[in-house]
Amino acid sequence: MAAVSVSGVSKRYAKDVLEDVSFELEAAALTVLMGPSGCGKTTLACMLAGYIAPDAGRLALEGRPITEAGPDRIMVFQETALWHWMTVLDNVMFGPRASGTMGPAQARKKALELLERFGLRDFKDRYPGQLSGGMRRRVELAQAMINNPKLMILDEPFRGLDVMTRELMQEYYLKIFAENRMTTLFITSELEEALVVGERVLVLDGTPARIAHSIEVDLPYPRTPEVLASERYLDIKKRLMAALYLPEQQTAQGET
Amino acid sequence: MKRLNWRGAVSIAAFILLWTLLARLKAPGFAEIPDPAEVSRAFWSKYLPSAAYWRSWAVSFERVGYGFILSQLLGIPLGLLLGTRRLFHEIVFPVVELLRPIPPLAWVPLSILFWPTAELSIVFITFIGPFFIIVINVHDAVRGIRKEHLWLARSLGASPVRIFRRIILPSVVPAIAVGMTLGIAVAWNVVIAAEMIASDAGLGRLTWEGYVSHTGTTVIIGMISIGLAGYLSTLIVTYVEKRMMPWQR
Repeated sequence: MAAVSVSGVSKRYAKDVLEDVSFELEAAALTVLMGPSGCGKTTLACMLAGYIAPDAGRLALEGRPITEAGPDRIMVFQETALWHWMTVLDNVMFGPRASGTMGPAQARKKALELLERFGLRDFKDRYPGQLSGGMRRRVELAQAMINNPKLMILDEPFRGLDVMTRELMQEYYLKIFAENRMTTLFITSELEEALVVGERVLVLDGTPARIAHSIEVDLPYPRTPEVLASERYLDIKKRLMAALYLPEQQTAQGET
Repeated sequence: MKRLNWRGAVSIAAFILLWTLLARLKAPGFAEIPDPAEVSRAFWSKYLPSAAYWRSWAVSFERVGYGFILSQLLGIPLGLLLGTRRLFHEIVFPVVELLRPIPPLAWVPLSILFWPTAELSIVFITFIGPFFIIVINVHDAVRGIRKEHLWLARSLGASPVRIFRRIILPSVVPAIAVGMTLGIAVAWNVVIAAEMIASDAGLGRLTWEGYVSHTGTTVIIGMISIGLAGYLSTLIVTYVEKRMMPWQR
């Protein structure tokens, strides 16, 4: 069943132009969205989160149209959006307090559980400015997950982290995803990252941009070095590269 | 332990020496200017024990205190309203922008005409300077809040009231701190000038009377006192600012 459906969405926004974008996200699936920079990936993410309204078309989550921001969806932004004036614990327990789903004691307990799981319990009283980039990202994931959203939107979440931290964070997210299978849209501009995390890769391309390709990544998890050296992986990588870098007409002919 | 900046100590000593020399030699322009030894003698014997001298301090501090605190109490909410309420902004902001470029001292004559007592008019003038500074600082800070910070709160289900309390207010605290630092300096500038023009008390008046009576020591003691008073109030404001921003420790 599709959890998210986007149909015929168009938007002129800043320098992004999206036209007639349609796709669906399977429930409990991890879908990657790629595309050249400035093609409107973030705009699309913001529309799914309900921050920006489309000029035309419709977006829906479990059949209900998306019209504004709400606690059933959450977005993790490119740049950290943690509130630097609140401690880690306050940042994480904000969600259930704000949405009114838990009392203060319960929210605190749930936040501490999540922090424990993310290996951040000892840092609960620190401020975000006192944490490393990777730790901040984990706090954001805990903050995002505490309300049990139905859709998780990650907009280039690990950009700016060093390679080691980045790989650890990818592994980390996959582990969490395997536990809760929260429907996820993972935006990235890194080909390797897309193939390490994704079950399917959507490619946004063209001016105005639309979904140009949808590529299944039918590789087993965990994506060990062996998996990432397999014939199958190389084949998918080749197709994805073609989708990303070759002029549209050529790939259109080559695929089918 | 901080390392002593001996070069700084040497240059201060050199400054005092140079001043002494110029005053003793009656260099051009220095005819009525006393040397540092005279000033400190006058201070210890005449001013330190004088109740009138300390009353000047109290009077100026009181004026700055009222003017400054009032400017923050009214200016911060006004800045917040201007930054968050579109309709309010459209109606009120043009008036703020119309009055803001008028220097506080240009308000002196009108203020004296308007307020029933000289005291009220001086407090009002002292209020005007920091008031526009804090209003603009807070207004700009509200408008400059990262939209991701607000979006995130909405996505977590926060109501407008909670967003205001937990996100908007703390976001503008650093701008309030900057506005306060600038404001307290302006308040002292303005109160001294206003006292020279329109008052019979305060450190500004004390300094001015020294000039009128050709008492060089009074002028210089007045100047040093004003500098010290400004420095002390800045210390207080900085202390308050630190308390407002625990995350910057």
